[in-house]
Amino acid sequence: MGVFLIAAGLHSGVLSANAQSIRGRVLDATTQAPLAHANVVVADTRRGAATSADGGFAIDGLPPGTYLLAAQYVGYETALRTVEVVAGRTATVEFPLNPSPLAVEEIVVRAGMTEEELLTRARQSVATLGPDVLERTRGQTLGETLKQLPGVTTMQTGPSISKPVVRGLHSQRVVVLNAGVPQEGQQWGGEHAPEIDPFAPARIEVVKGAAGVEHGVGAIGGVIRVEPRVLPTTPGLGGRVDLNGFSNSRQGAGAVLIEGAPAQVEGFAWRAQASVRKAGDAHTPDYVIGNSAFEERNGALALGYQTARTGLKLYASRFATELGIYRGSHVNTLSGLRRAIDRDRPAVDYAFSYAIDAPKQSVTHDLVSLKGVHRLPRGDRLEVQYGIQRNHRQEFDAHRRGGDPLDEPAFDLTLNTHTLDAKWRLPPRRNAFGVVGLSGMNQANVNAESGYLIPNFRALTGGAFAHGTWIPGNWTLEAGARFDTRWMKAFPRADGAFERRTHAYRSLSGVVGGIWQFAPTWSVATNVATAWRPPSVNELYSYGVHHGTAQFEIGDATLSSERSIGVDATLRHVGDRVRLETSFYTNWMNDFIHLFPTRDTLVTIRGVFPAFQHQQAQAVLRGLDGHVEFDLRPAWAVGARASVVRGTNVAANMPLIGMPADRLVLHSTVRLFEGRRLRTSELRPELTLVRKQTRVPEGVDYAPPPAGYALVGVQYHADLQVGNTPLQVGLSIHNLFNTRYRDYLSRWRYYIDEPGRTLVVRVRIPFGTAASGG
Amino acid sequence: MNRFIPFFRSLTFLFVSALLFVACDSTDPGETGAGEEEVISNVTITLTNPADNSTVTAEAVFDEAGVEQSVETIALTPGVTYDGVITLRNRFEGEDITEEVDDERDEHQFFYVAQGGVSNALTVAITDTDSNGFPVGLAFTIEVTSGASGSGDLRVVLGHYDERPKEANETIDTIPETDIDFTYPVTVG
Repeated sequence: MGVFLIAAGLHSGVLSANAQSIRGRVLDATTQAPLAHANVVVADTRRGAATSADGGFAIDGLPPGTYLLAAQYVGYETALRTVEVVAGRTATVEFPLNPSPLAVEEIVVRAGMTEEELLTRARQSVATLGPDVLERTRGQTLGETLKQLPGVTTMQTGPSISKPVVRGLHSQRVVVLNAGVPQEGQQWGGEHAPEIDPFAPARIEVVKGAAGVEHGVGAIGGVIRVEPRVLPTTPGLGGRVDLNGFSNSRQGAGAVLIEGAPAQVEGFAWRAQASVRKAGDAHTPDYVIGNSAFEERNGALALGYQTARTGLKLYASRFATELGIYRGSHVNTLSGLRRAIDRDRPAVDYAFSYAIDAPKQSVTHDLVSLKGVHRLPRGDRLEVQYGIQRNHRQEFDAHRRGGDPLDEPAFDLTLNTHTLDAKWRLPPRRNAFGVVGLSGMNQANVNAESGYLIPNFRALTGGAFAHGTWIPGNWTLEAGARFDTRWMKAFPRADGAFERRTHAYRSLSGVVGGIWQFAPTWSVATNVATAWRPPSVNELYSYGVHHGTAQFEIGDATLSSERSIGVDATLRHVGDRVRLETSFYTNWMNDFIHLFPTRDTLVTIRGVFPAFQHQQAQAVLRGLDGHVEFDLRPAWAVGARASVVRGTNVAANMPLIGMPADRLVLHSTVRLFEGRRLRTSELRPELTLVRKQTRVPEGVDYAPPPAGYALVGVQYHADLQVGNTPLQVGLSIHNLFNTRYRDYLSRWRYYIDEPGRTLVVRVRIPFGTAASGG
Repeated sequence: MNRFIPFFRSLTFLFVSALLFVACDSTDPGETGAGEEEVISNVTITLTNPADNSTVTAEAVFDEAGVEQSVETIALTPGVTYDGVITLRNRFEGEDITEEVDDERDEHQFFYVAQGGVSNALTVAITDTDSNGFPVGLAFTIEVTSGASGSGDLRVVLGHYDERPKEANETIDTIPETDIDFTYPVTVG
């Protein structure tokens, strides 16, 4: 009879699909207390469930078969169970979870661990790039990689500098966390890209909107969280080699990663990685972009030690780049800028070269962080992270009075930053858990002997926050508050001498949010958050002509802090065949600091320049972004993602300058033949449509925004088995039709087109445990 | 757990001392300065009337960012041909930049353009040359038409040719890098 039932179930799987189910409970292994809102996921499917208040869960409608189930809960080890589902019967399973011995990696409410979790955990719109997506884009700059997320665009300065723009905001309004430490470089510069090795991250998350409670001052526009790989826990030695080639700039890139956990020393693990990139001048469809070559040499080392209750992790990394700036963009007079715009292409026919000549940037960023985590017997978790960073930026102008421009930089800044963060995570009580924390930062910026752009300064920042989450039934409610204070002294120039000025700022951040899972596969999340930031040193003290824009920028030492109040609503659906996330947001910016043209022009020794002053006004940014993916067939999915931002200076009733144009990306993923050698392979064509930006303030810019454009790209990715080695091979073509275009947010759009067709080849060769373990 | 308390205690001490370590501050700009630039802060034109050796001087003063602070008017007499020299200085560093330009004659050229009400009254001719025989403009003559009167400007432009070599018959529009471009008010009469 039993045999008959199984056979019947197999034959009529569809008909009896709802007859069988899995029921179970998730418990704390030691206390036997039920764990509510744990996630139970069926591996290899998109099915799953969250546990109710009594720790119970139910998954219905699975076809008969043998399944691997995983139960996950914050602060606990993930448990796996194999369950056999027999037609018409209810399988039961119990998951006693052990507290995780230690994850030095911060436990955050994060998306992407499972898609189910996304429905219940992410109060804000969070977009994640996991290892699979990162593999397909490996070798691109961080900004280019982030462009794949809805709501994120980039501000380009040629092929090597790309700065992420989150919902229209960037630079000092977006916090970048590198291995848990807030990255402190000279963020204020639009042509200063985040100093992050594109080979290093194993995952990247973008929190869109204000996140001031968790991340302190500056997290007005969003947070980009760049996480390296988790250290190995199983004994052995392994690693991988990555090789990339980009045809357009004849770029070669390679990375090596070796990691291990020696069997002799339990709890100890290490990883070392290094990467190099060398690119020559990029090509537009018609000409070479002179002096756009660049080089990068990066390395990182991680050591970890963990016991059942305590963990320590040391992370050290170096990022070093040298990059050429297109010579024709370095105009230092208004008439020169007008001539370059009128010319519409380079004045010189450049020949391809790998040489990096002036003007150029040379940047190194060193980071050392030490993190300690300790769990108290009651379940409290203490986390302390100390980070020290040194950012050294040298910029060489095209031209230097009295000598070779490469001999002496036009400016040479060293920014040293110490950060200390301490968090105390309270153990969950009933349906609630919380965290309190303290953080401090000490920052010093020093000019070298030659060159001047921003003054020397020292800034001390301190903050304290508390954040709580309560999960009654289908709801998740969160609230938090934070206080921060910053003291700064700066030494601006004053007629051959230096003045000492001090500034003090203090304010509050707050957040209230909720998620309502109104149906098993649907949720809606809403969030009201306020964050602030003090004016940055360039906004206070800049005074001079900005190369390439021919604007005389004037700071204002009396500027006050800027505050954002953001409201965000996100609808999510994670179904069997359709996945969807759409967010609407409004971000009111009080005292929004921006450059605004003054009525006067400034007479200088190099001619007359329009004067732009850092001013404050009420502004509002509204928009929507989202993505949808639809499985047409088991092996064929189509999808779209879109971003729309509207920025308005309310006080002047005019559009904000530099807002990203509307963007729509259509893509399709086709899984091709699979076999023993060629294990998986996937073809992914993509169409990017960008509208012309028509909402621009009048009479401010030198040239109208460029026309809209459409780009076609194709990606192919394959997992191969060559002998015992699993190889990953990728082949992609960007700008397939060699389309001539310019982007409104490109800082070189006045002078030249964007790069043309690029063929990218990627190979990943794992070895050791990485080759066998996958 | 107890054996970790000393560890965290010493860690805390380390952090607090790092955060408070501000007594001897590296950000205070010292004697060597912090961020000095090769700027031209003062431009002076000196015109000599060869008939009586009388001179007319006019100085233009700029701040560290190059913004004009003051400029003196050049007052000229009709019918005189003046011998002119231009000198450049960085008053912040006490540097004579005229020497620098003089050392790099092949890479520099001045242009003098009479504009406005004096455009027909002045004739400027460059009298010095570089190693290729091309004009430099550290020395020049200004011929003031007899009987002329009025007021206008003298535009002074210094082109820097480090990107490409300087050629014969350079014009303001072909300058690859501009070091100087401003105007003196001029009166004739």
